[in-house]
Amino acid sequence: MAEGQALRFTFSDRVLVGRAGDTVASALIANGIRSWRRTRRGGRPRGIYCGIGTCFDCLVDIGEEVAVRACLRPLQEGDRVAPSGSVGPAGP
Amino acid sequence: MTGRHTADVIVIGAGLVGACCALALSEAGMEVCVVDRRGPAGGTSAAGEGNVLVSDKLAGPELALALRSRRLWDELGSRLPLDFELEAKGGLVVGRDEEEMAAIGDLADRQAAMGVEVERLGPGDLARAEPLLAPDLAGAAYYPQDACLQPMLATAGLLAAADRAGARLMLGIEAAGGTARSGAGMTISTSAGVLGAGAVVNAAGPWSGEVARGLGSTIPVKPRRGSILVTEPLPLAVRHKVYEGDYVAAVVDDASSLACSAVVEATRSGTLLIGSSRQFVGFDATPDVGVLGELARRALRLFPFLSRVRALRTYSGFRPASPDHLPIIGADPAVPGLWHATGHEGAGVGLAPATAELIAALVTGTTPPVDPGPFSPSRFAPAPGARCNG
Amino acid sequence: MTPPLSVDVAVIGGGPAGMAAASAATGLGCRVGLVDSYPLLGGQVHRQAWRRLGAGQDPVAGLPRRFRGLGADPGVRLHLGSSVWHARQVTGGFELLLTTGESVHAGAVVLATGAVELVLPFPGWDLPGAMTPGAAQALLKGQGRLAGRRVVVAGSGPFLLPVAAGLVRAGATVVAVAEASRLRPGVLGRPGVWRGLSSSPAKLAEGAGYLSALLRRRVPLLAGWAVTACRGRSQVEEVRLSRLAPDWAGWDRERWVRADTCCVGYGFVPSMELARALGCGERPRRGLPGSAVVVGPDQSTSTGGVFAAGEVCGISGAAAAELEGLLAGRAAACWVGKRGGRPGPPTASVRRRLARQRSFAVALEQLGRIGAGWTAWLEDETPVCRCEETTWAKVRQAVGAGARDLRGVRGLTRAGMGYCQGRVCGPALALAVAGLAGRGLAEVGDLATRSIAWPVPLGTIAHSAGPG
Ligand SMILES: Cc1cc2nc3c(=O)[nH]c(=O)nc-3n(C[C@H](O)[C@H](O)[C@H](O)COP(=O)(O)OP(=O)(O)OC[C@H]3O[C@@H](n4cnc5c(N)ncnc54)[C@H](O)[C@@H]3O)c2cc1C
Ligand SMILES: Cc1cc2nc3c(=O)[nH]c(=O)nc-3n(C[C@H](O)[C@H](O)[C@H](O)COP(=O)(O)OP(=O)(O)OC[C@H]3O[C@@H](n4cnc5c(N)ncnc54)[C@H](O)[C@@H]3O)c2cc1C
Ligand code: FES
Repeated sequence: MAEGQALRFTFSDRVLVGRAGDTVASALIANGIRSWRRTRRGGRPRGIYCGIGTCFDCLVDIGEEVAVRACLRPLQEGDRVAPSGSVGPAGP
Repeated sequence: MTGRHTADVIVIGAGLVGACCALALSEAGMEVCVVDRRGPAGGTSAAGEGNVLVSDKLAGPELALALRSRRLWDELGSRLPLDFELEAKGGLVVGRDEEEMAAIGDLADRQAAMGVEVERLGPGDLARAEPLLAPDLAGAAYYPQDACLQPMLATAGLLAAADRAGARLMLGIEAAGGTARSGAGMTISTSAGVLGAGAVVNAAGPWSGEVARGLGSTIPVKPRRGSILVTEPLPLAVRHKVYEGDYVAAVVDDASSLACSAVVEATRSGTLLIGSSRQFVGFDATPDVGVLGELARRALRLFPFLSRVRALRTYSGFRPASPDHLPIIGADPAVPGLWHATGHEGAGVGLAPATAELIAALVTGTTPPVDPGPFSPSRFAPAPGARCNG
Repeated sequence: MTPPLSVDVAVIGGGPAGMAAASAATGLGCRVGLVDSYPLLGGQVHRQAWRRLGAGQDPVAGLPRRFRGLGADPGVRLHLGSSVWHARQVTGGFELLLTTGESVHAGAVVLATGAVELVLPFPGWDLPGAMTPGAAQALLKGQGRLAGRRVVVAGSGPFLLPVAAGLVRAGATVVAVAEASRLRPGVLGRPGVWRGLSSSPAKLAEGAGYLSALLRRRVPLLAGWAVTACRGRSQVEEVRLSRLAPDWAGWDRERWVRADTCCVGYGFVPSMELARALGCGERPRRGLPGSAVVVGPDQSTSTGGVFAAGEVCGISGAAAAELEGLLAGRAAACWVGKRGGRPGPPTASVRRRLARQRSFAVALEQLGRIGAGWTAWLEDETPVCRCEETTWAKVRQAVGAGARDLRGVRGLTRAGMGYCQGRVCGPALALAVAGLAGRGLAEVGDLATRSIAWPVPLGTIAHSAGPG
């Protein structure tokens, strides 16, 4: 399978490794993490669903970027990934 | 044609106003039938913001009606069979400079004289009340009585209560026309046949002008389009209904071109609603992103943080506007048996319960709690001398 | 406001339809702007590996050879990683507003916005590990990652086969492939079905290739079976496969299988938002939710200067999308007055090939219909809208309270009001509400919005949406 350069990132304080060509979603999944946020109402776990940017189930916060679709966002070295909703657009 | 007797009263329109009328008339002991060509809240009541405001009313008859209605909404909140998200979140009318603050203060004084609760806030208090507001605002008037609700749920709740009180719902049925019956009452022709009743209440919102014409009358109701931007859900960022002091000016600005004023508020689901525009463009629903741009620019002046917040969708609706910005409530001057409950423009949600209370009192011949005179449809009738007989 | 970029032809969508349209138009001398939400060209079927995004990588090398020219063509300006949130008519042509804040002015527009997957909810479909077939495929093609180890692939339509074959080739265990419709011999006798299927031997051979890859690895292939539930503590652990009764109203046999992933999809729905913003005429899809853009023989829509190609005009497959793109690109060039020499195959032969592809698609559609009784597998607490977590019970109550169309149900339940704006739940909701209210699909309507096709920052709206 595809080989890309290793990229280090964190998810809620865990240090993880993905590779160039990963999206944030694929890097989380490759690390065995299949859900990375909880829904606002029912608190149900969510990860990817449509995989192509349509459903917005896969939202994460990355540093200052809020509610980003993890399945569309290329993974970058040093990304600090957190469950979506941990910071509001109005600031922490 | 006489039409079979369907009910004591037929209410045309199952929007908030029609639903309130149905409940009030049923509870007054009438046999009621509600007709709507779509579903519950199939018109403007599904396309507004759901504010129950006293802050935006000039001191006068509409404010008296609004204060009465505000009380009635509280009562309905505790007895309707459905939670419709009624919340007294309070309104903030903000001013950018001393001149605007003077106008805001002036209106507040006159409203207070009629019993409105209102408090002045300086820049420091304002920043504490609403921390994400732009820092350069001059102050605000705070109206604790201003409330909001979810109009579609409210309509469904009212209809469910009316149903329990014996009212009949006929949805998916269009009223096409009708005439006064000899003797008393009216017959109306619908897509489901001819119906007959002792009285007909025209609560067809922005379409009430057409409905009136079909029933042999005229009332001067015109659609006034308004558009709303809806954002992504946020953690609590805006606590009150916040609007610019020039909102009232936009309401009474009758130019058909665009009148805009920033109105920002959060809903219970976390999204923000951003309004408000007013245009006379008939029933034209073509998307107009120029209006959205204007709404966004004004909202950013109030809340700069919104710049990064995403809009998910927009919707627009047609307010039922009357020429003097007062609702049209009461007996038709020309067609016996026909009553109107319409013309509320941008205040139909707030004014619906008191409107229904007036209608129920007038139809059953009891004394209404608010003077109905200023709202009478006969104010638009040609002067007596000009009326021709026959 | 930033001065808009001016081109002759703007193409929205970089899948086979959009790429073919852009190639055709630039070949005729047009300046072309091509916009796509993804950072790489290709769309769904030609999705490239994202490692090509890196510095020093050739961003078109993963495309079929015939599209690679787009990367270096000086006549084509690519706006990748940016979505068109609104399109409108302005004097002299059209204006596209992009989520990046840019705007593009064009004399003609080609809509090639493709489709999204059609999904039906079932109990447990919102557990992590439950996803669409396209999600598993995108992970594999784009990132070279497996969605799971033990996978059930289910739903309906030919797309299930390449997804399942891709997964087994990449080393996953495919526990079963379940196609919900049952191929009854009688179906082949329906008008057009046999002729349509036999019109494209290449496609049948492609299908046979996937089938043999699955059979070689002993993957059970079930017809007439569907995933009707899955369960697990914090992710999918078990999947229920049920043998459906006629019209899918219940089932007579069921089997729980162990799996960590289940991929369920029932075909595709055209992405109509921008077509609607531009006022293009649309047609309902027979027996299926959603609508498609109506086009003439040259792919023109009812709005002069707007052409449409690919799945937005109806689900006919990648080969048809490309042929339609070619025609649309030529017609758009002609609209802006660029006729030039006509490179490529003659239009008549393109149309002949297109007719064959379309009849194949129509035949396939006849084979897989969604059974009206599918809601039998929903439970009261099943979330029907993933964003707002609206339950099936709430939807039924709303219809009971008098809601007669999708907008009415949305107002009472919030279904379709979340981030995705009903793109995921809308089609299934349309089927369900039509069933509950006893009305036709066209009567219950849909939730596609017209003004904002994709979420866009208010700052961008403030900055780029001037008066029309
Ligand atoms: C953008 C916007 C924001 C607003 N914000 C607020 C606010 O914050 N607070 C507030 O108080 N008000 C607000 N309003 C105004 C408010 O929404 C309206 O005043 C109110 O909804 C009117 O209710 P209605 O029942 O009279 O009309 P509608 O809700 O329009 O109901 C009329 C009904 O009549 C039916 N009908 C029409 N013709 C026929 C026929 N021939 N036969 C059968 N049925 C027929 C229609 O289907 C419809 O259901 C806003 C309006 C807009 C557009
Ligand atoms: C997830 C998925 C996977 C698929 N996989 C296959 C497959 O493997 N084999 C197969 O034969 N068929 C597949 N299909 C079916 C596929 O849609 C068609 O075969 C083919 O890709 C259609 O081509 P198209 O050009 O019409 O659309 P697409 O290939 O879907 O391309 C449309 C493009 O438009 C872009 N777009 C849409 N709206 C906007 C906007 N507002 N702004 C900017 N860009 C926009 C999208 O990002 C997308 O890249 C798949 C479909 C989906 C949804
Ligand atoms: S998984 Fe659907 S948007 Fe990312």
